[in-house]
Amino acid sequence: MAETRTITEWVRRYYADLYRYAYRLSGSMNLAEDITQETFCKAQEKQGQLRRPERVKAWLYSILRNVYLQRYRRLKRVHEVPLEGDCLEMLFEAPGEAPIDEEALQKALNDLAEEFRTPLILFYFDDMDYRGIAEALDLPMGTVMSRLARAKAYLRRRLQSSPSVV
Amino acid sequence: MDCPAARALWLEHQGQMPGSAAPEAWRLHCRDCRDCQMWEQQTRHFESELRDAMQHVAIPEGLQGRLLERLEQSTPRHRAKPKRLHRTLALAALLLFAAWLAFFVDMQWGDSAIDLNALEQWAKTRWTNPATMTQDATVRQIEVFFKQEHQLAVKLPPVITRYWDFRLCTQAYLQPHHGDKLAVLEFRRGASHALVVLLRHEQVDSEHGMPYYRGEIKGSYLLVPSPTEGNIVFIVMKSGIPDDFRLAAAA
Repeated sequence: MAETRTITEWVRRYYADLYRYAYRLSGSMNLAEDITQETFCKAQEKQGQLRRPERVKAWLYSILRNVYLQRYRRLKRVHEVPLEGDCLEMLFEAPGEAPIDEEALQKALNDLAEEFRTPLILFYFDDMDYRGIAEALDLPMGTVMSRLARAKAYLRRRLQSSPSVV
Repeated sequence: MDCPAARALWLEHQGQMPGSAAPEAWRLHCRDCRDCQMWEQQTRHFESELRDAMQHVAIPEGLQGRLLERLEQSTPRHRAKPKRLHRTLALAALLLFAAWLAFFVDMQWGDSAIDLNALEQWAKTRWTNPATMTQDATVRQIEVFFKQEHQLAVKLPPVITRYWDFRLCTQAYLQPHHGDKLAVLEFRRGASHALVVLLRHEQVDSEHGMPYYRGEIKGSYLLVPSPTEGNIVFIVMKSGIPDDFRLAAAA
């Protein structure tokens, strides 16, 4: 009974955060709901393994991340843009002041190939550092750095229509 | 930012390699390079906005309710599984115990004494002496042994005029004939067991009504489905006989 109360409490407190994370990762409302549901189911099964209850949110995030990486990551999007080699240049252009359009952001993320999108979301949404991303995705640190730099540059170009060069 | 030296420095700084001097080098560079300083501020501002924007996702209406509902639906299922399993296991254990109890009661108080004469009649018993026997025992010794140790009335095969080791007989016969030709009957009387090996080749009246028989051979059990046909070849003896027992020793 206590277990049921606990999981219910977790759903009430964290369902929105988890859904947002799942949505950014998957780019789909339906998938995001499935991933969130699966995350809570797994959390319910494994709640005995939670050693530090004060870090439950991070624990739920890590479950969600694993659910996504293991089951949904390889789902191919329709439009995935390849990142050109020179897109790094964009990183060194001064960002504009215009506010970020959230719809445009998701569209840009959806168009990004998974190998670039996932590290980007782990970095910006999950606030993971390079090392954490490398471990989560089982990639060398250098690869993570390179992919993130390209993804950031791509995102900046997509989100800012007329950047001014310093 | 059009500062080639700063570009590599920035990328390395972003990587935050443990023990890297890049953050400090970048800070020192920005102190002297106003362009890079401005660019860094703008970039940090943009990234901060980006982090915020990432968090802004509309939550579908009724999501919380759906999640809770599905979790509640899945909870009884999760818990029913072990409950069902436990119930099934308990039932199986109960049935097994009941079967064992019935068997035990039958063995203890049922009419389990073996009437070898009747058996001989039913099965048209033919006694055979295995060719591989080498151990010795007298007929009298064998008769006494079965009578005293197992309280079984034994009619020995006429061909056994010399010596036997019944344990070896069992093994000698079972190994070459293991399969559908041999059946093993287990008879109990008190704590004693006697085994009767059947070589099946003729129809036998099933009046004795034993659907399954079990014999202990080399420490394992041999289960034979149907003993209702065949001839008794010879009688061998129980498990639990002392290892050093040799009928020949009493000669």
